[in-house]
Amino acid sequence: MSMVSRGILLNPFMALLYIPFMAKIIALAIGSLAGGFARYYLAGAVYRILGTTFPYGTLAVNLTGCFLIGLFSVLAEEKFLIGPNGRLLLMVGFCGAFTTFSTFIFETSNLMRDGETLQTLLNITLSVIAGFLVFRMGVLLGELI
Amino acid sequence: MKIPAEGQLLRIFIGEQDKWHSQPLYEVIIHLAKKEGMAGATAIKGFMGFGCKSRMHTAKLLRLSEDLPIIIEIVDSEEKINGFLPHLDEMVKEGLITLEKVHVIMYRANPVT
Repeated sequence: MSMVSRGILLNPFMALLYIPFMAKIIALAIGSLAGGFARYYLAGAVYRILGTTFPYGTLAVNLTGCFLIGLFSVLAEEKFLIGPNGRLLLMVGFCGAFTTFSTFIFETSNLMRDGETLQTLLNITLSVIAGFLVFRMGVLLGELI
Repeated sequence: MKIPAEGQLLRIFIGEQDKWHSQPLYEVIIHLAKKEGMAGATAIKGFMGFGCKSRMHTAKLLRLSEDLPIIIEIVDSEEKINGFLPHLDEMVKEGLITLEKVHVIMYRANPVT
């Protein structure tokens, strides 16, 4: 069926979705935008409720992100309820912008599932320890400028 | 419906993001196989692989989990398979299609009660 016969040319935005590359970009853009906003407002709300003596906001964002990426991964990989662009929107875009920690847990969990104990420990150790180290390097560089 | 004992196995290797007129290509192929009266068709989702572009796809790493492999298998007589192939030539823009001889051991369903 042609695009004209579907009436798609009447709506230029819908026509864009028929270009696979554009559909990917749009899915990523919407997911990332929504994830960024969700992170900002959820963390803010948590700090207003629980106070600022502990990074509760970031913790809440990280835990929510892990829950969501776990849910979306099963819906995509096992239940086939989320298609490739939906996965891009929800898992890569939304969860990725919401918190990269969700991607870290998702991939670490996959390594654990496959029995790759060394890789699992390496991923956790490198992310945390090397994260601190390069953070300090950034701080030092900032102080030198 | 019957399949001769010496049938053919058609395998179509595509990606889950491949489309035909905005519909997932694997769905279109399965529906077309049904419409064309093929004996059966099965779509299988792979969790890791690479194709002619040598680009790795794996469900294990989120960034590389786009466009996971899909294999569609159709077993039928040589005549039916040959009649189906021209459709694929038009629809499969990227992928791999293989054909091999198979010995059909069993093809049956429970009688409708």
